[in-house]
Amino acid sequence: MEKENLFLNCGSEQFQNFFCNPSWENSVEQNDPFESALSSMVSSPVAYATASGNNDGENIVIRELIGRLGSICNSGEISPSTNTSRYSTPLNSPPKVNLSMMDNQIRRNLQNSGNNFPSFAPFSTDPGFAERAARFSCYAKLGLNNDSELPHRLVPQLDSGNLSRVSSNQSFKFSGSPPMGVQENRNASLQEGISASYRRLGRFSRSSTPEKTEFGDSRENSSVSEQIPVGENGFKGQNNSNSRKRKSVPRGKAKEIPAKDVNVASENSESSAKRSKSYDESSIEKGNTIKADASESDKVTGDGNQKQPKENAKPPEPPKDYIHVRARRGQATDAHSLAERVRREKISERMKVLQELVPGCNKVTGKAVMLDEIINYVQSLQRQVEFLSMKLAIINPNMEFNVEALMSKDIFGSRGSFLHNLYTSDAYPSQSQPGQNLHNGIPNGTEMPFQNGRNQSIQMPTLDNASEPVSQASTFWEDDLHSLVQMGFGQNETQSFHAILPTASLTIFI
Amino acid sequence: MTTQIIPSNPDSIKTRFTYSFVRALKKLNKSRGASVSPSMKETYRRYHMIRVASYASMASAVGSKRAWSRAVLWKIRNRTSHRALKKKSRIHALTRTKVRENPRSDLNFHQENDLRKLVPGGEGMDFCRLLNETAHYIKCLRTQATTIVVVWAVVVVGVIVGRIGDGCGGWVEMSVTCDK
Repeated sequence: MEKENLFLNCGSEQFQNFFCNPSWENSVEQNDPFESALSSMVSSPVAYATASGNNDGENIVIRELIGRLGSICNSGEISPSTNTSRYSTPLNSPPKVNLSMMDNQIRRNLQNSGNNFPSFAPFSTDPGFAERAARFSCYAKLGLNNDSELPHRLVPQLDSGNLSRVSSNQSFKFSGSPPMGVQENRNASLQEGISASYRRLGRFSRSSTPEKTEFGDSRENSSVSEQIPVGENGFKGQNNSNSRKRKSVPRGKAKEIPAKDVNVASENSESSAKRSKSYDESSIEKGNTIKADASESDKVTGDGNQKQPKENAKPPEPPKDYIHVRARRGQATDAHSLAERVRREKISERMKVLQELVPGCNKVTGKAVMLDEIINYVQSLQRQVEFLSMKLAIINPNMEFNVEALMSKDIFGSRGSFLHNLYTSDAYPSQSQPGQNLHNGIPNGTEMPFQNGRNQSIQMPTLDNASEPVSQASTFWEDDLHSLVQMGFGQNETQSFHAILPTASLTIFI
Repeated sequence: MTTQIIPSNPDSIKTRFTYSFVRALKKLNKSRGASVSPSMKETYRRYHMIRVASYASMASAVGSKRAWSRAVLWKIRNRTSHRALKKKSRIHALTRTKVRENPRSDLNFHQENDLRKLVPGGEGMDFCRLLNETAHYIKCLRTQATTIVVVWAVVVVGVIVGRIGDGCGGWVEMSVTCDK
C-alpha cells in the first residue's frame, strides 16, 4: 500500500517538478495565462454587458485585457524556443501573431465604443480581419492539426493539451517504474501496455533463461524507452493526419470560413471564401492533382512538419504552384493514373489507421517497414493468445468450475477492481522474488507468504509441476497482466486500489 | 457473492466473446474428469482445444461481417472432417488469386504475402482490403488477449479458493488477522 502511495506521490511530484522545469516553463506560462486571459475575456465582457453596459466597465475590461495580452506577447517573444522538439515552433509562432491581431482589434474597438460585445462580435467590424483570420487559421491548422475553429481559441488548448501529454510522458520517464500509477493519458497507457507486452514477448522468445532482476531492469528500461515513442505516437498521429490536411487547405478554407461566420459576419470573409473557392475550382479542374500530390508527398516525406513552414510563408500560392507543376508532367489527366492514385491514397489511409493501432509505429516511414511492424505485431498478438490458452490448459485440471459467479462479478462489473487490485499490487515488487513464490505453490500450504498478505497470493497459480520455463513465463507475464488487466477493465482505479486491497484480500479467504 | 452484474455494454464483441469462451471452457472441463494428473499429451490436447475455442468464440462474436471471421469459422468447421479437402482448396485458392503485379506492390511483395498468411482469409483479397481486415483483426486480437487474461485470473482465483477450502481453515483465519 505504501509503495503505491509512494509511487503516486512521486509521480505527481515529479509531474509538478517537470512543469517547473525551465525548459518547459516558458511555453507553459505562455499558454496558461493566455488561455485564462481568453476565458476571462469571454466571460467578463458578457458579465459586464449584462450587468452594467456602461462604457466605463468595458474600457476597464479592455484595458485589462490589453495589458494581459501585452504581457503575454512580451513573454511570448522572449521565450526562447528551448524546446528542441519541432512541435514548439508552430506552437510559438501562431499565438504571437494572433495576439497582435487581437490587440489591434481591441484597440480599434475601443475607438468604436458603444458596443456591448458578446464573445467576438467586435471583430466583425474590421475589414481585413477575415483575411487575416483565414491566414491565421491556415497557420494554426497546419501548425497544430485542428480546423474550423478560431485560431486563438484553438492554439492554447492544443498547446496545453500537447504539452500536458508530452510532459506527462516525460514525467513517466522521471517517475520510473510504474507508469500506470500516474496515468494522464489513457491512450498512451493503453498503447504502452500493449507495446510493453509486445516487446517483452519478443524478448522472452529470444532469451532462454532470463534473470529475474534482469527482467526488472530491462522492463524498466523498455518502459522508459517505450513511453516516449508512445507519447510521440499521439503527436505523430496528429502530424501525419495534419500533413494530409495540406491537400484540403484550399477546400478547407472554403469550409472553414463559413464556420467562422458564426462570429464573423462580414463581406470580406465572403471575399476570401471566394478566393479559396477559386483555388478549389482550379484544383478540381486539374483532376485532383492536389490530392494526389498531397498523398504522394505524405508518403514520401512521412513527416509534414518540415514542409509546413515553407508553405506557411505563402498560403495563397502553393495550390497554384502544385497545379501547374503537376500538370506539366502530364500524369494527372490519365484515367489509369488517376485510378491508381485513388487507390494509393486509400492504401495510405489504411496504413495510417494501422499505424495508430500498432504501437511504436510513428517514427516509421515507408510502407515496407510499417508492414514489417504490422506483421510482427500480429504475430505477437497471436502468440500471446496461444500462450494464455496454454496457461489455461495447465491450470484447468485443478479447477472446480465455480466460475460463473466470479465471472459475472469480475469481468463485467466495476468490481472487476477485485482482480485488478490483486494484480496491480504486486507486479513490480514481485519480480524480485518470484522463484520462491512459484515453488511455494499452494498445495504445500506451509509457506503461504502472508507477511504482506495481499501481495503474493496470486503468484503461485500454476504450479505443482512447475517447470522452469513455465515459471519464468508466469513471472514474465505478471507485469503484462498488470497492464493487460488494467486495460481489460479500462477503469482508472489505480487511485483507489490501495484502499480496496485489504478488503479484497479478505474476500478471497472468507 | 453471486451478484449478477449486467455488463456495461451487453452487445459488444468483448462480452459476446467472453460468454462463448467461458461456455467452451466449461464444456471442456466437464468432459474431462476432474483432478486427473495431466500428462504432457493431455495438456497439449487441452491447450489445442482451448486455443481453437478461443478463436472460434472470437470469430463467432464478430459474426460474418468480416472476411477473416468467416475464414476462421470455415476453417474450424472443416478442420475436423475434411482435412485433405481443405488443403486442396487452399492450394487452389493460392493459384486462383494472382497477386496483382502493381509496380508499387513489387516492393512489398514479400511482406504482403506474409501478412496474407497471418491474417485468416487473407489469401483472396487485394491489398487494400487486406489492410482493412488487418486493422479489424488486430483490434479483435487485442480484446481477445485481454479477456483471456481476465478469464485466466478468475480461474486462478477459483483454484486458490478451492484449495484453501480444502484444508486450511484455521490457518486462513490466522492469516487474515495478520493481514489486518
